[in-house]
Amino acid sequence: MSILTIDHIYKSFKDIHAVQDLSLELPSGVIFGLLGPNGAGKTTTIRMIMDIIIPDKGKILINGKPNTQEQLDQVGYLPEERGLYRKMKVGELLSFFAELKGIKPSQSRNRIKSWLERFELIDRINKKAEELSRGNQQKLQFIATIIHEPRLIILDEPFAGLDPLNTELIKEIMLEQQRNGATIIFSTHMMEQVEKLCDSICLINEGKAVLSGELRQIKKSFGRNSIRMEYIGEAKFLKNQKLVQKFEDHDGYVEIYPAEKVIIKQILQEAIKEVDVSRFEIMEPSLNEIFIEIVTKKEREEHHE
Amino acid sequence: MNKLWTVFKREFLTRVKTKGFIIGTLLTPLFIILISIGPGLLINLKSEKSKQISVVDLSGIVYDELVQALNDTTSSGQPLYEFKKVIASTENLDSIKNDLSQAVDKNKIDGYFIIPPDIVEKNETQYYAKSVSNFDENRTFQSTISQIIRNYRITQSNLDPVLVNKLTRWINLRTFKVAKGGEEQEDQGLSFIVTFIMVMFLYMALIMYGVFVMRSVYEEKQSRVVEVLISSCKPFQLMAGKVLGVGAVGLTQYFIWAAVAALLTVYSGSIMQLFSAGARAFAIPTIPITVLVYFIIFFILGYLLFATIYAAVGAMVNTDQDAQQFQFPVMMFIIMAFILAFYIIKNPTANLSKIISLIPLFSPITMFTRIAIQMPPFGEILLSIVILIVTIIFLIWLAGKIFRVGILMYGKRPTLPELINWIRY
Repeated sequence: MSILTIDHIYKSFKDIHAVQDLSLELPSGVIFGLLGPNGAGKTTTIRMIMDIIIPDKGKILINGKPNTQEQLDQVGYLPEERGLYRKMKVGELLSFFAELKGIKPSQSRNRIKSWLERFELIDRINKKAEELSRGNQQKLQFIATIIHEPRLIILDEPFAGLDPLNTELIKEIMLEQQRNGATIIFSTHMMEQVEKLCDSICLINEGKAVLSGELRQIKKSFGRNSIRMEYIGEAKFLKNQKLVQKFEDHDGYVEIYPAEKVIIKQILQEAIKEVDVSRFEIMEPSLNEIFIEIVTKKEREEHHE
Repeated sequence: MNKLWTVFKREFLTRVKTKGFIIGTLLTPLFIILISIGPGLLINLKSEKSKQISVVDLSGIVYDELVQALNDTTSSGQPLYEFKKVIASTENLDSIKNDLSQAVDKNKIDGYFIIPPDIVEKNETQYYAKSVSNFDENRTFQSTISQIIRNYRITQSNLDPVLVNKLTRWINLRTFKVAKGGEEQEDQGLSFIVTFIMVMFLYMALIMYGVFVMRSVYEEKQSRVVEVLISSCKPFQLMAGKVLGVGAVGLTQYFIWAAVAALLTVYSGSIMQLFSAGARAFAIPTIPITVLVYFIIFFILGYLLFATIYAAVGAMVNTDQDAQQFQFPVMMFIIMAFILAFYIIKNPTANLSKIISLIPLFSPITMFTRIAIQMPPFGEILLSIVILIVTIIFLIWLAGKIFRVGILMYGKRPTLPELINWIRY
């Protein structure tokens, strides 16, 4: 059964259609990336999942039930706009957030300690939140998100403002939570993060889902692979418009974009005939490229209409 | 319900643990003790040192009487004033004055009187000293010399000073308050003071704790904690937890103060005795228990009324400036009620008093004022309480709506049509 079902939701703010006809089906145990440029509707979608704003139309189900408080208690949510009680002590703060999700302070005490140890914040347990550095406050907020061991974790831009070391730490914990059976949704506009973490993605632009599914599948079906080739000799075939749509000379290698309906094997055969090939690598399209292509294609279409 | 408790607990504990609360709660009673028994103590404190005072009595009628009249003693039992007569005439007065001033300057004497020869006609005499700002002493000197001159004039007119004093004695006006059931109780203007103090406390508490609630909501909104909160509990639970949490802080503070006041009433006599034997116990007026009960009832109802409004205001605003502006109309109601309370103190039975003590935004202060100054019929009190409770329920519903939407609205402040939309939402 899917842990999260989004069924044709719509949300408008005055004249802006923030989310239009968005549907998602999220199997349990995946890491799911919600992608899109700024203002695409990612945060609005997440806020609707969290019942902070109510969709104009459509349904949201968690574990097959409406997203009421009872279901949301099993969700951990890291909002895009981070916020903590600045005057509260670190330990008390975490205890409060855990209690708000139904975990008694007596039960959360040890968990809080072990998380603070893991994030190297244990010596700050009696410091006020405002005395922590910005990065440490981010870590604290992340702990607050997962302190009640939620089945579904929703992270809105989790890596924003983190240094590479802490980014790695958060990634590590995300993967660890997945191994323990949690499902994770996270939004980002940094595509590189997604390729390393996600099992599935949904690309949204201007409130609409433009692409969604398993990451591997998407890349496969998106047949716009390029080839990186290193060679010695004169490669005349590169000029053959029937084979090669275009090519770019880089330092030490050439990037080849095959013409439409050309099988890559054909290019390799031609290449071997003409030059000494020392490297021939099929490059998957990066999400970045896919994204840019989809968005610009859409715009072009709209332009034509 | 559990989450309301969690919010309540956090709100209460974080506030009670602040230095501001601890200091404010402990210092206020200390301050009250100081101003209530301090003056009593000071009046009873005696000077430790005798004072050397020279008297130049050109009239020849004051010195002997003065020495006799000012026979106070120091704390060790010595005479407080040691007078020395200085013989002088109008001719050498200037040089003698000069000498005496030198003596004062060198601390040989503490001060000196110049009693002019025509004091009976001119009604004036002079006292010179390094410090002449002890009003209590000045008054003593003035009244003593006045009395001497008066008696002199009376005797000169061939009348008996004792008889004249007897004939010109002032009448003492004693005031009695007739309480419920026709019981009489002597009241020396204290009932006004007590009422005033209690109304003042009510007024300050409503504004102070109301603003606490507003700030608390507004700070959560500003620090963006609210998004996590609102996804973890219902907005109504959050609002109610806050209002009740801050209210409990207020009640705690008041109970501590009340306990100190009660102890002070019981022990004020013995506390004074500790400092100075024979001191008169300072009378703290006793407040009838029914009035105290009504005080608590109207404090709680008034607090709920305004805290709810303040919570909604806190949810509406985005900046400190907006907060100031939006809270002003709310505060106006409390201030107006306070001003109206003065009218009620003067005219407790006027029809206008009856009407304004039923209007819900005023009644926490105005009805209580009536109760404290002159107990109104129970029916009127009950009506006022019922109207108040109905209003509170309505406002909680209304504020809940505004809170739900407003708490997540960042950016510009809402206009009135937008507010109405929030309520319909």
